[in-house]
Amino acid sequence: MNEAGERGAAPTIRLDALTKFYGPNRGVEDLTLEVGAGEVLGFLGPNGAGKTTALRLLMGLLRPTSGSAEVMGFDTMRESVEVRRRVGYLPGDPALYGNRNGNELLKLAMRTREIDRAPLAERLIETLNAPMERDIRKCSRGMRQKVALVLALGHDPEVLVLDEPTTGLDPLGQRAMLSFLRERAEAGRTVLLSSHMLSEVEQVCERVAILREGKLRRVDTVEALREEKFRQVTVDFDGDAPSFEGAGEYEVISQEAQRMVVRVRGDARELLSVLAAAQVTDVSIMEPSLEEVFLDFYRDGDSR
Amino acid sequence: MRALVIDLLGRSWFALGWWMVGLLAMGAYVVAIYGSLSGTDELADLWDLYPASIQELIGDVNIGTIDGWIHLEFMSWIPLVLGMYGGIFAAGNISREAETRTADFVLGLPVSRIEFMASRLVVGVFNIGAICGGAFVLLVVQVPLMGYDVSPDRYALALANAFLLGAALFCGYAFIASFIDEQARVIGIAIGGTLVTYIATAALRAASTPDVVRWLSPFEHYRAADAMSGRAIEPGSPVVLAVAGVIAGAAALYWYNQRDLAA
Repeated sequence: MNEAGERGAAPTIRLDALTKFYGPNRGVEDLTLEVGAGEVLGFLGPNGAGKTTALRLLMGLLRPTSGSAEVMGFDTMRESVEVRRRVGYLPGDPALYGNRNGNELLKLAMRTREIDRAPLAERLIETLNAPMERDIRKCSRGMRQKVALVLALGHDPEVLVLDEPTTGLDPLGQRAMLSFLRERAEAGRTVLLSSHMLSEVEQVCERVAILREGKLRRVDTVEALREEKFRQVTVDFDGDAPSFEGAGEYEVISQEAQRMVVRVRGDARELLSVLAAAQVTDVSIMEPSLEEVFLDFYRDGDSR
Repeated sequence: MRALVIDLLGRSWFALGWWMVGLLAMGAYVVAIYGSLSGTDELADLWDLYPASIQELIGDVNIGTIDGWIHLEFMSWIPLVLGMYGGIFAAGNISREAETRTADFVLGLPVSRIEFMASRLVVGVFNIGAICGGAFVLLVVQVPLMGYDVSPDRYALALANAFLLGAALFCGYAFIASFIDEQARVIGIAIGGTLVTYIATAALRAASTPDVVRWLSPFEHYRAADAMSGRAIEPGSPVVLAVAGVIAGAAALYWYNQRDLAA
């Protein structure tokens, strides 16, 4: 880690105005982002948001139209081999040579990394129950994913770049993988993962970067995103339905005889003062899950 | 890069083996049947049955001799086989890697794009050399076994010329494969391109086309007839093939290093 250490004062991952256009089509535009050592950052976004493009730019598989990216101080285009030496990269829907088995591919990976053993590989093989003896062409989607995870992470990389790492895994495999990622972060490894599965991002990520239409819309902690966005308020009342005027921006989700469900944005004190003035018999105020935040974010997309 | 070369050699030997079995079986058959044809009127008449353009393409040899016969029925076909092998190898190990995204796995390892492409070029050229080497060993062993005078210097010169042509064609197809991510399309281009160029070379020679035009065809620089007749090969042709191969290989490396590997 000599040279990386010398450059170590910089964030582990840095994207600087990173932009990629495919002809006239935007892949990502003006992505600026930093990820520190030991941090787990989740890339969120719907299909076509630019998550995979961002990760491929980071690995030097795509050339940026403008801007730059660095991993541990190494430029991802000019010093791509140094970057790959330090990164464990799992592509989305990983493709492996069909006529080889996992052990043969692991040997190839170790030879190119010039290492005799992959310290974490055996543990990962056991944890994930990865079928390393089976030809890849005979593996199911989930088995292939397990082998690919062993190949990407078995050498204990300092940076983990994972494109939808739990896709195809069974629930046990997903849980084991998330636990493994948390453990690697505690060991000081930096993790950048993209996912559609918001629940898993919520479990492992400290911060979330939300992409939409190739642009970075928001980078914040999971907690901050939840708190800032909205609350779902269920009110049971006696008599006339209360008015939510003054409680912030609100939207009635459902209204029955004596029960209303309202989504409210704004300061909790405003909401509480409105409820205090009404004939309320019961109230529950729910924090949204990250999934609800995410859906809300995209539902209102164009106005943000 | 060494790890990639070893890996690709390991993955390509099986297919290479079948190509060699096919080619060497053809060579063995050609040598074996010469005894039943030599001295016959049919053999003497055979050459005259060929159209002028094919005679031009094959070159000036005496097919009544064992070396002339080997050239007619074996050496003159080897460039076609090498061209097709090179195209299929390039399609399978460059285009298909991008098409099926196995290149993502390799380029997720500490491997540069230059090393990735260079490993393909090195193994492809090595395998073409192995085919030519196999043909040389076959002739050196079988011709004396059949009771004929062996001419290793002629075989070596002709096969060295074939190797340069095969390597140049392969590097050209590697360049094409560096920007077309469809294995089937590159195979079509390679096989079609090899056959059409070969036939066009015959047509250009028969039509007495100016040298400057004929020199554009790689097959124009295949002078095995001279070698198999005991004549020297003019140095211009091997030099042209070597330079063309280096330029095409460099272009493949350059382009693969510049391009995007889209998901």
